[in-house]
Amino acid sequence: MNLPFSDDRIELCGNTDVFFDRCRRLLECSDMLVQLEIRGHSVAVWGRGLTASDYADGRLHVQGQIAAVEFDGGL
Amino acid sequence: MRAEISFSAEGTALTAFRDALRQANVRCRHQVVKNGVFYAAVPPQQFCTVRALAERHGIALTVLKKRGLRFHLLPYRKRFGILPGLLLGALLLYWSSAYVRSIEIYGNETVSDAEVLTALESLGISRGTPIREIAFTASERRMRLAIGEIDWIAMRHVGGRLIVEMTENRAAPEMYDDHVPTNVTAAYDAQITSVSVLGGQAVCKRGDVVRKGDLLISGAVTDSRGTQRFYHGDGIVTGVYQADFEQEQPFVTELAVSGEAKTAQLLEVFGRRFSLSPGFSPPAGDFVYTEESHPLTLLGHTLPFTRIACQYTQRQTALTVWSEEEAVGLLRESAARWEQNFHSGDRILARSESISRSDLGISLKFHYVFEGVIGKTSEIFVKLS
Repeated sequence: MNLPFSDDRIELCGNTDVFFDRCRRLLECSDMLVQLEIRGHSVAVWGRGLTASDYADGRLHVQGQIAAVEFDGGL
Repeated sequence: MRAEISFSAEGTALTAFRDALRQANVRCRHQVVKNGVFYAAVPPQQFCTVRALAERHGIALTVLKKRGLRFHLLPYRKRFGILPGLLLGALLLYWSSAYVRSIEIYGNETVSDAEVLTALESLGISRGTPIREIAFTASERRMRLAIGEIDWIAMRHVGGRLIVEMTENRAAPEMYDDHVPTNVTAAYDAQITSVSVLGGQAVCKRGDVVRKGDLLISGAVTDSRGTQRFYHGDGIVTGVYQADFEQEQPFVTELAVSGEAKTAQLLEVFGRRFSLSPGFSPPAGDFVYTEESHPLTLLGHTLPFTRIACQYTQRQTALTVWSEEEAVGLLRESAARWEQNFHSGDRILARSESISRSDLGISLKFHYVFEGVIGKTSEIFVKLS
């Protein structure tokens, strides 16, 4: 089981924007699901009309109508 | 507007391509995968990296849209006239608002436009003067000194238009001084038909015959005790009097006539004039010069250019020969004008004319009998103690 990660910041603004401080890989990027990898953890953002934008130093911005954020495949 | 190139990428190694983009620190915006096609937008300076990575991973790259000012301007990069045109337009705009293009005068009634323009010119303000050189407040003060009739004046400029607004002095009506001791005397030899005394004492009555200069109404009245007092003698005395009008009309006269007229065209730009009629020379000798200004317009807007039509009309004299009838006609016209000018308020009781001819011309003598005002006011110069 992966260890929890607490140093990386994930910021959720309402249900339209999520900002990730450090994203290693973008695993999936469809308008319904954006899945990424942070320190060996998989984070999935579910929603509608999702797009992902890269910024410097591995930062990532996911935009769209966000329905759920899941860590490591959810429960 | 941020410059951006939107693209789509297709291929089998899409995930590896996306990873490579992240590792190369390419700032990919609006990433989304739809139906196995990856869509994103990158800054133009990073698009070369994207292309190189796409080639390396066997990805087919399609540019969908280019956004940004540079992509809008790119098609015009070989239009070499744009920059000079913009510079020329800016220069024209500067010129048209930095120099006096036209002078508009408002509020003048008795003072003519020409008078105001001449006064402005004496202050160094005319068409073509740089606006920054005009000291508005000082010029307003000096204009009030230059033209005494100006009560208030304000000068301002709107672009290249110099607007001069003014109000004029309203002169108080002249006071009627009825305290000055005066007499009323006869202006003609006449027989009096009516006397109406408003002040003083009448010394004549209806039916009297008076000579020119005789006293009609006296302002110096002596009472029963022998004390003399002075009044403002005033009144209307009418009478029947005679007057003559005599004039001679030669059969041959030298009249001024207009000779050859030449027109030249000028173009005025910011007060400077350029000839549009090359090789033009004004007529020799004396001539009358007139000019008409026609401001040029474009789509209803007045441009700072004026076409000036200058007309030079030669002054010449011509000998005119009059027939006897024409000469008499001219003399009768003169007599009619004399009647209108000097005896318009009088009634003509009788008029007779006598014509005398000579080799050189005709002399016409009109003899009139008028009935009208014969009294005129004359001041009494006395030392009052």
